[in-house]
Amino acid sequence: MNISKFQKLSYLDYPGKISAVIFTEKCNYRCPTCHAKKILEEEKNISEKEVLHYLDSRKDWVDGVVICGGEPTRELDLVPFLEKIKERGLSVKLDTNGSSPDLLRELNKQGLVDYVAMDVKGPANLYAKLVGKDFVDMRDYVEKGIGVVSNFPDYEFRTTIVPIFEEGKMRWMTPEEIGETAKIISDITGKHQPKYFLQKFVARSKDEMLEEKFAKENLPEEFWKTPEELLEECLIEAKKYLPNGGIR
Amino acid sequence: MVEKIRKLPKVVRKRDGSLIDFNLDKIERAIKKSFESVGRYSDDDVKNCAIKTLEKLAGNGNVPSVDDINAKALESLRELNFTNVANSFEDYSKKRREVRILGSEGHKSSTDSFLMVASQTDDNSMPWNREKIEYSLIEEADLNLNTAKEVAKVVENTIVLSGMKNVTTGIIREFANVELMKRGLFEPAERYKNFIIPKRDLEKIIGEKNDENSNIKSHNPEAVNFTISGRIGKEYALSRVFDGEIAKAHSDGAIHLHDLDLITRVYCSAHSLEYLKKNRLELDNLQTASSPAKHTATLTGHLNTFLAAMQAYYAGALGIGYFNVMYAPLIEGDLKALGEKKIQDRKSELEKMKNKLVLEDKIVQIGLKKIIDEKEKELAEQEKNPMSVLTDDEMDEFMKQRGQEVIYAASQNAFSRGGQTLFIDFNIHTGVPEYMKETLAVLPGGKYGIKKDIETILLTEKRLDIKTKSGYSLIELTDNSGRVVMREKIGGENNNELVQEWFLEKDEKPITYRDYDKTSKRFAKNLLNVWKEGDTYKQPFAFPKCDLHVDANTFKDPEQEEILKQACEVASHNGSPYFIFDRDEVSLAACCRLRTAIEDDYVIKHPESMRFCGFQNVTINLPQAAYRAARNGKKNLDGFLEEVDKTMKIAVRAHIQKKDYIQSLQKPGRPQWQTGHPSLDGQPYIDLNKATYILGMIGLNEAMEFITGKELHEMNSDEFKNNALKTIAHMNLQAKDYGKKLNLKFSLEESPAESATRRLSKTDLIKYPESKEFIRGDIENDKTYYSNSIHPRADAPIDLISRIELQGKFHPAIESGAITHAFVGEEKPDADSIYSLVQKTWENTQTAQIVISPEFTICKKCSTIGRGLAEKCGNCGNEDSHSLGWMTRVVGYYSDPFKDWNQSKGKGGELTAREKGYYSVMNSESSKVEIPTIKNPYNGISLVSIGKSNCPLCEDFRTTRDYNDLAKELGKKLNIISYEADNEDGLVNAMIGNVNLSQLPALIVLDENSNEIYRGQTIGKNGTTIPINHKEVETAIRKYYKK
Repeated sequence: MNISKFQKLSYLDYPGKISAVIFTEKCNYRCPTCHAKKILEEEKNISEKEVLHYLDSRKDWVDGVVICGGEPTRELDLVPFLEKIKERGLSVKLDTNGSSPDLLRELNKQGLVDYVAMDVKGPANLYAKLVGKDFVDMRDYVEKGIGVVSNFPDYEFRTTIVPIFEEGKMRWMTPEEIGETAKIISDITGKHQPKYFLQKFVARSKDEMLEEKFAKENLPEEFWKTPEELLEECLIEAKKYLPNGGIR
Repeated sequence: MVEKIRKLPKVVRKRDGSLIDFNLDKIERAIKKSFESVGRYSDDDVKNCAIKTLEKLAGNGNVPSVDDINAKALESLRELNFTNVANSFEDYSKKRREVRILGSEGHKSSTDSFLMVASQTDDNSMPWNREKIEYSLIEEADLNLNTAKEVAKVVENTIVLSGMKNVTTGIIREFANVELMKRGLFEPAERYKNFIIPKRDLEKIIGEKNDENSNIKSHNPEAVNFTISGRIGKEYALSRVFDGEIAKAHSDGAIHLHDLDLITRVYCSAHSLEYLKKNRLELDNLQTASSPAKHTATLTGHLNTFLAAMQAYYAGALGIGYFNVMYAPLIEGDLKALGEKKIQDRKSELEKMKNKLVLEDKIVQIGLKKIIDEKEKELAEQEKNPMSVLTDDEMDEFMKQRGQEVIYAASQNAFSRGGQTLFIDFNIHTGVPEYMKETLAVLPGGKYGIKKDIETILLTEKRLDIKTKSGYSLIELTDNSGRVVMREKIGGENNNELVQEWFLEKDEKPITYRDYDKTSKRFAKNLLNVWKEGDTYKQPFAFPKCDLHVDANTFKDPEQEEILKQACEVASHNGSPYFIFDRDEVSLAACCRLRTAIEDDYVIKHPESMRFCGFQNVTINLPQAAYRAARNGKKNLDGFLEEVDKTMKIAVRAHIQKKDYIQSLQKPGRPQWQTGHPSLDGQPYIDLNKATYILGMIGLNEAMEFITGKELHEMNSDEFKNNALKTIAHMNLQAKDYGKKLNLKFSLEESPAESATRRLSKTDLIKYPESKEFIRGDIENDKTYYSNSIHPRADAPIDLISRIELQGKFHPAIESGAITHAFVGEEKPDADSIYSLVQKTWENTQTAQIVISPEFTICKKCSTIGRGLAEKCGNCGNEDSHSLGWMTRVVGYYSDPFKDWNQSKGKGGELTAREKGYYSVMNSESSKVEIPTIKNPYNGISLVSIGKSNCPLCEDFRTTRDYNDLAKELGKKLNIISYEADNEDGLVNAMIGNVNLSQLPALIVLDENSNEIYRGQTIGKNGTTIPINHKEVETAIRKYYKK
């Protein structure tokens, strides 16, 4: 496993658990608004051994492990690693962009993940822009991903309301676009009525942001943080299709 | 030369006609004074003048008068061309004459009352009277008559010569004091001492001068009075209450005497609602008395008045125990009334329906009549239990209102102590504790009661002549026909039980707190909601503090667990609840509660007598003890502990001295009489023999660094045990030892080190320059501090869990108060994750108290609260530091965001350091913290047993099973180590092993890698003791070897 960062203690990343958070290095997307520039580029190479040793020394306290990054499903030895974690009786939460439905299916089959949090970036027509890549059949992957995720013991979907650079101008995602996103999820997951959270975007400095254009230094102030009212409006649209969830 | 002058007068006639000896020295002195008043002079000048005067007086044959002598002296001065001196001399004489004339004729009608003396105590001015000075010097400074006369005369001369127009008794005293000191009369000077405040300081206090930072808490006239009196009180304390050695130890920074400015008060306290409920509100300073409350709102009113009055006697916190439990009977009384009203309303409606019935036609009538009959039956049933007609919402609404009333009132009780709000704690329990379930409840109106079927019968209480050793009275309860329903007596095996004998008839049942479990729980939930919401601006309440008690049952009873979960949600939201872990079962069966055992049992059955007083806190400066040890050539742990012992001895003496002082104030007419005379339960409200005398500590981390070279978080298991834990264990046992010797309770506390830490570090920097390396904070800008008590350094690179584990090791030895802060900065932790943290802290450590502390930025401009500490309001951009405040916990409570908190705790000081310490991110260079644990030094399994000496249970445990036969059978090594927790070695091992000291004997089984195979403790539950099960131990050992 290529572990770029390891946070020993979190009490907000895995609800109900005291968790350790593992950040993996690789990612197949290049979302312009991504904060994880440092994680993606640095080769910290924290060893698995260190991580497992820590988890063992803290077995009376830490009962959950969160794997995020980057995109954890790009790691080749994700499965054996999660096996080792599961052996220790810990709960596993996986944050993913859902683009590896086959691997996800395998993880579920082997019972290696207890909670999946999948990012659904936006409606179909905006996807390429939002993830910074031109994908063929991307929609196919993502929709498959949504379907697979909804079979896990516990899961949630989430969308961050980000600014978009379109036709030379910066604009926020609109409530309608969120509504569309929610509809896509709802169509696939049917009566499950999954949890759907809308997240705030907060601009960071240019050494943290993947795309310089979205760094705080370069953004007009109105785009530094998702406005409260916009979040509320988006939530109203989202709730039309997915009544469970809220704003984070 | 003088000898040549023959025929000097032998006598002089005084003004009153009497004759005294002619005295050369007197003349010389008078002349000298005039010279002095003018400026520089030489002794020769004085001599020459004196001689000339004498020459003029010689050979006359007449008896000169005093005036004659003065005239000659004046002539001499002029002839010798000492014009200025002569003028001064003449002025003085003139003034003396005026004094004499004015004095003998009483006061003139002239408004020029320059020699009227304004008294500082009366509002009157009186004419000058030197005799008064003489008298006060004899009385107060204990001088003999002659010296008193001399000093008084000097004072008079000085004042008159100076031409001062406005003289106060204060000025007179200052001159007298100076004269006493000039004469080397230091002890009398000390007795005659003035306690003064320079004018400049007064102006700073009032706030006229803004040049320096004054430490006033809030700007209002009360605060001004409070600070002024505190300044004087402090000086007085160090001069009169504590002896020289102690005063020196305080100013040298070896100790810190807390709240010196409030020398006539005791420190902190806990009070019982039951006392108020049962006994009515009647206080010495109130003109009226109220009878025991019948309604919830009335009780709140009583409580408020009570707190406001009692705070005058205490310098520190006021706690109320079993808050939600004791309110419950009154809440139910009010709810019952609400229910009855609802039933009445329904009845009225039914009546109306009945009346309308006659207007309906026959068929409808029959149908309706049936419905009405059913409804009437229903109402009749409901009348038996009126509360049952209320919906959950209605009950919650009622409790929410009452909760808001009492929390707001307590948070806005800002009338005294300089206008600060009071430090108030409400102790909330997740349910009625087991040991209180059989306690008789005090009902509305202050009486006990029994239930006869559905009826409540109130009982009359009568005090019997039987008393316990410490004077608690036993009682008898009768119904209104005089029948004895209950009688108390002393019983039990060792006469240590309060037995309540009941004489009940059929269907009768005593009303105890067991009956109020549901309401207590509901009230707790509603109180938590009030704390969650905060005030009208959503600002969290700093006071009253929410002390949420957690015990073993909290995790076993689903209803209690729910309340804890809710508390965790509030904690995640704004950090309000303090989680207090009640790890000892308060029951007699728990081992070793042998001291005043009957008192323990009495107080549980009569919680109106349950009150606590932390008498005083004297904090020990641990780093300084380390520096002193080094200076003695003993820079090692033993040398350090020697110095700590010396300091503890001084601290204990300080306690005794203050105890004597307060005792003297608990007499009629004196300031602590209210707490000294028998209170409404027959016992003094504060019994100094039952109080706890607190010894605090500061800076263990720096002391350890100095002595061992390692900070707390850098030590390995052995270093930690043998240095850090050993120090605190040592102090704990010393305190207990003093307790035994003096028959008082001494115990350790983590000092809430606000101003203390700054003063001590500052003093050390001056007196012990070697401290520079070890002092925390910004030396340049005077923001220095030592780490709080036993805490690791604020910015030590260790994560929260490590802190919790490390600090928890100390808590069992720090019995009067220890707390671990979980600082979460701007993050909003998940409520369930907090629950997990609280539950694991309970299970994995012996932590006494933990609090989640988020931080907030409060903007007064736009009335918003944001998480985290920001320089600029996230909502409106306000950057003005006067309307943008930070709310954070630096010591034990939320600081007021808009008050000037102690520099060292603010920016640049500990707060900034703490920001760095949050980190829990691992990178390859971060330090690995080895959490100290009990070690197995042997080859093979070791059984570590921890007990106490002279304890029959522990003896029993050790002898009932000899594990050697098991060892033989298994063919393995089983090493048995026994420790006794009342000696240092045993206590240290108990602490490092996370052993619950109230559940001894304990047994831990370790494998050779020091992993625990089994752990057992002796539990006291509901009056019985559940010992460690030897079978379980054996099974665990066998299982281990099977693996």
